[in-house]
Amino acid sequence: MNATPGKWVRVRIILVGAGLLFLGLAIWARFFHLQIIQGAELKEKADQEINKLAPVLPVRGLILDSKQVELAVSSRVSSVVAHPGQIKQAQRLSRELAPLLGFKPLEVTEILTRARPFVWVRRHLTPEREEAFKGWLAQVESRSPAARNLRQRRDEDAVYLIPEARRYYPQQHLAGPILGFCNIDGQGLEGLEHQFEQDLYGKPKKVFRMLDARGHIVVTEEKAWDPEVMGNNLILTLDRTIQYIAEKELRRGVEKWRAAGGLVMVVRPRTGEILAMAQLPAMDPNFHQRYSEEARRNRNVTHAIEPGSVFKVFIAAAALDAGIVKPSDRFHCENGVWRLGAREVIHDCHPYGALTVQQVIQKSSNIGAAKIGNKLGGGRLHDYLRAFGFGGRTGILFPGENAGLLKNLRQTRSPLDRATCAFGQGVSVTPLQLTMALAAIGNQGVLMEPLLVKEITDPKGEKIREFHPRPVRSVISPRTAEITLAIMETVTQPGGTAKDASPPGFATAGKTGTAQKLVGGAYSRSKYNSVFMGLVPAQKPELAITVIVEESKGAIYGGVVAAPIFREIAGQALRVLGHYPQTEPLTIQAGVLPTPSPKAAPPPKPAEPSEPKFPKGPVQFKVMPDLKGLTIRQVADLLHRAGLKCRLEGSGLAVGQDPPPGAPLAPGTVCSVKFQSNS
Amino acid sequence: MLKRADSALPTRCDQILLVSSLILVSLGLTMVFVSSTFLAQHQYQDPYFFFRRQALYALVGVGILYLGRHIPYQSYQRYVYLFMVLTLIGLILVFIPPLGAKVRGAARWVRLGPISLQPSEFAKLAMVLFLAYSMTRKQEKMKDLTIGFLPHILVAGLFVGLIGLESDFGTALTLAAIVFIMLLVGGARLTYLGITAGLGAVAVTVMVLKDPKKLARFFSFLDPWKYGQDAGYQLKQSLLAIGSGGATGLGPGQSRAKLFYLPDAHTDFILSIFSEELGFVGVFLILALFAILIYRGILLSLRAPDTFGSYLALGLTLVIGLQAVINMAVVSGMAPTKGLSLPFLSYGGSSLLVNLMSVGILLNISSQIKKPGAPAASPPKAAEAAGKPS
Repeated sequence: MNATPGKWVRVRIILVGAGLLFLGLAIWARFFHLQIIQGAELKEKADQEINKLAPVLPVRGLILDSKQVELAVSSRVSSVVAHPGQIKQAQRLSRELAPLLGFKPLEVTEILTRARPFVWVRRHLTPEREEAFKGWLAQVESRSPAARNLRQRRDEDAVYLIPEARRYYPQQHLAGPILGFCNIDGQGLEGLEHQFEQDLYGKPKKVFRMLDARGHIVVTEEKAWDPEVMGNNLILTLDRTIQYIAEKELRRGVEKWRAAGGLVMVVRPRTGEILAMAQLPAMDPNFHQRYSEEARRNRNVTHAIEPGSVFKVFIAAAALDAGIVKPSDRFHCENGVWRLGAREVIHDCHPYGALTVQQVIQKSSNIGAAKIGNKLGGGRLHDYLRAFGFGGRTGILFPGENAGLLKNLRQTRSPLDRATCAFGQGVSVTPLQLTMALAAIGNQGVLMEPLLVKEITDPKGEKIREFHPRPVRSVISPRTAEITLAIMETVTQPGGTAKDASPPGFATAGKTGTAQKLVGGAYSRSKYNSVFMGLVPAQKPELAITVIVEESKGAIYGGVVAAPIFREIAGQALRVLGHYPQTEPLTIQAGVLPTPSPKAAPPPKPAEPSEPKFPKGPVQFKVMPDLKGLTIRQVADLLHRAGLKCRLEGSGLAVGQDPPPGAPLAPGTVCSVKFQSNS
Repeated sequence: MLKRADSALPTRCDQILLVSSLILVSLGLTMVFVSSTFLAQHQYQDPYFFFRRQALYALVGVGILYLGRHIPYQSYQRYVYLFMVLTLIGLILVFIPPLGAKVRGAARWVRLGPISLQPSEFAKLAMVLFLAYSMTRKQEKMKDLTIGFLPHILVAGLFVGLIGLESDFGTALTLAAIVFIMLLVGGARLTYLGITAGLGAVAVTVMVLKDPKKLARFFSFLDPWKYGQDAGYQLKQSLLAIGSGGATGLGPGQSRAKLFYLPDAHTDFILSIFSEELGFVGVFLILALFAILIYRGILLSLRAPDTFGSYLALGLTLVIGLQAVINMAVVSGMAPTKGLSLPFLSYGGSSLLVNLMSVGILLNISSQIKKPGAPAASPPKAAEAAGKPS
């Protein structure tokens, strides 16, 4: 056995080796052909098969309040999707899936057998359901793994989870009707979500995603949202805290008076920024489906009501501004019953004889107001009311704004229409219009455009757009505004209709109103809107607040129902803004009113911090602001930011200016301001 | 140049053979890991499932290699029939549950507790031992039909038939090819072999024609793009993977075909993944390593101290080399697709054990080559002899 193989055997062995070598060379050539010559072409083919264009769903931007508190956010949730075309035994699969997803098997079968390439089985799973579904997937994976042919796609592979963004409103009810809501695909349907859809929606994009042979995206778990698909953020002028206060106090008042609803608006007079906008009924946008249309709409903007007696303020302001009346002018109030014609009678609640203009407002005499309106004349009254913004949209960036109704008093023949308008009947205004007009009185007669959105930032927080306070027009002169404020202040003083309206330590310039609700074209005898609107503090208004309580039971008068709500909101909101009650007893402004004023005007208190009258940041004025009382530094700063050139004379505080306050401004206007030392 | 007892090989054992096979084993382990993680995660929720098993088999395999290296190969002759009987039992057991395990319609495994063995792999080894032993005994009578030919063909036919019944056609055909080549080298008459090959071809043709699915599968390799959705799917994916690799590959771990596109990515088609990740450079490396293995094996066969060693070395070289060549031809679309693993690289315990055992035996043969007979034999001449075997 030790013999070695013979010569021919060795030859044959070598031939075998040669044969293998030849085969090896052939394989080498084949791989060379496949990889070097055809490589690029085959790779492209493989790319087409493996990389599929997959959509990346957009993620809505945030909605934040003025202090960057999140009001609306997008959170990551999972949704179950399926490809019905790849499912052979839909019923078997349905039986397994139904209990996990909280469906009946038949419902799932219906979804899984739709003639579509892609279906949503269940969207926005709760965490528990998501866990259950993942558990099921793991269980399916481990089901007889060895006996499975991977080339055959299983039914289970056609059902899987994809991440989605879900809109979530962490503050729940807070500002719900303002924020609005989205549908399940993240498209804004109502409110700011709808108005700023373009900005918030985000940028859906399509990217090439590597898919495995089962059609699943290979890299799945991304921890953060892709900033490229995120929408811009909205920063509101709303203040979460004030909004909360307004909603809380409104709710308390509405519950106390068992009212049908209520509306509150809080505006900063000097800028037109809306700090709060509350309403009842309200909604939690997280569950918007559960609420009525009334609760979903931001009625402060979309709903017009008859203002009632609060309207008298604007009539009086107009007449004063036009120089037709003086605060001390007396009107005979016909002892409560004024017959305009055969059937046209105007009543006052209490019979009055002669009342001054100031008293007409303080006592809220319908007859007095009608007479003031008459004296002003239909045409001019109409012009003033339009100038205050009634009967037209304020231009707020919010969907569905109601323009209200203001008859053209210039053309109306009926003296009654003109007369009733003077005490707020036959006109309708939105709470927004009313509050902005009120704010104009508190802003030296300059009507501002309402601001709800302060700025828009991109996902990284960089400013994209900024909304500056914008004066619309000067409605009445600063002097008239000052007088009107003083008149309104008497309303909350003894003898006025709302003695309890002032928050402790602050003087309030306000007006009450009680308007009969229109029910089916006629004034209701039992349903009233109780209204109170006020500016606080009266000397230098920081807040313009309107409170409307709808259909209160037991009491109907604005001074009884709405004024206490106003007091609570105003007191707390002022504190939030850093205004604390003055310890000294308060007096009305001296020299303005002829009515007996026992105390002299308080001397200017040097201790009081001189706050800048105007907002920070670049500002834009349509008309010349009133610079009186500002320091040189403040004036220079303000005019500089407004892009105006200025010439400054003297030192101390500003006492004179050219052009005068309220004059329209052209770009490049040079203003000269005189200063005088305080002492 | 065809003198016996050449002298250039190291006396202890063939280091080149050892090193190249160990490189292949480690490359194989890496590739099994890289190509199987997704599947393992998907099927077993454990990305290391296949890797861990393969690593275990590789460890055992290296032990067996060491054993084979030190057991004189001549001693196997005494146990040839025992090996044959054991293998036969194994081949029959695969059909008998509960020991036999059917996977994807093929009964190839015998389950022994936690491990499952593939008798068809061991059959190759047993068959080579048997043929080497038998052909050495019969020597000059190989030309005789009843003594030199029929017994071998009948035994081989039984084995090949049993393996074919498992529907492991790849292994069956490879085994048949090994038997055919060994008989040819051993001196069986070409006429007999020709007739047998013809008959076998007819039988295979009839079987293939009877089953249209097999027919489609058989011919799909000619145009995998046309049959890309069914019969040619696997090959199409393989070619896409190989082509994607290009010259230098997509990079280690970057294979895309392993994302369930290419079935059997960690077993029969592991070379596709390898060439996708490492490109033509990587394929060249693999080809070179196998070429070295085959070259050293053929050299051993020529220099073995005796006929048995010579035949044995040839057979073992074929077990590794022929299978490698066929596997590469299959994955690159040069031959019809059939289940056949790539030695050392593919996932599969039995295959790895058998291949490492083969290397061990080859190393033992190499260690028994006689030292240069006389110092007079000049080294240059010896080198020449080694370098130019033909």
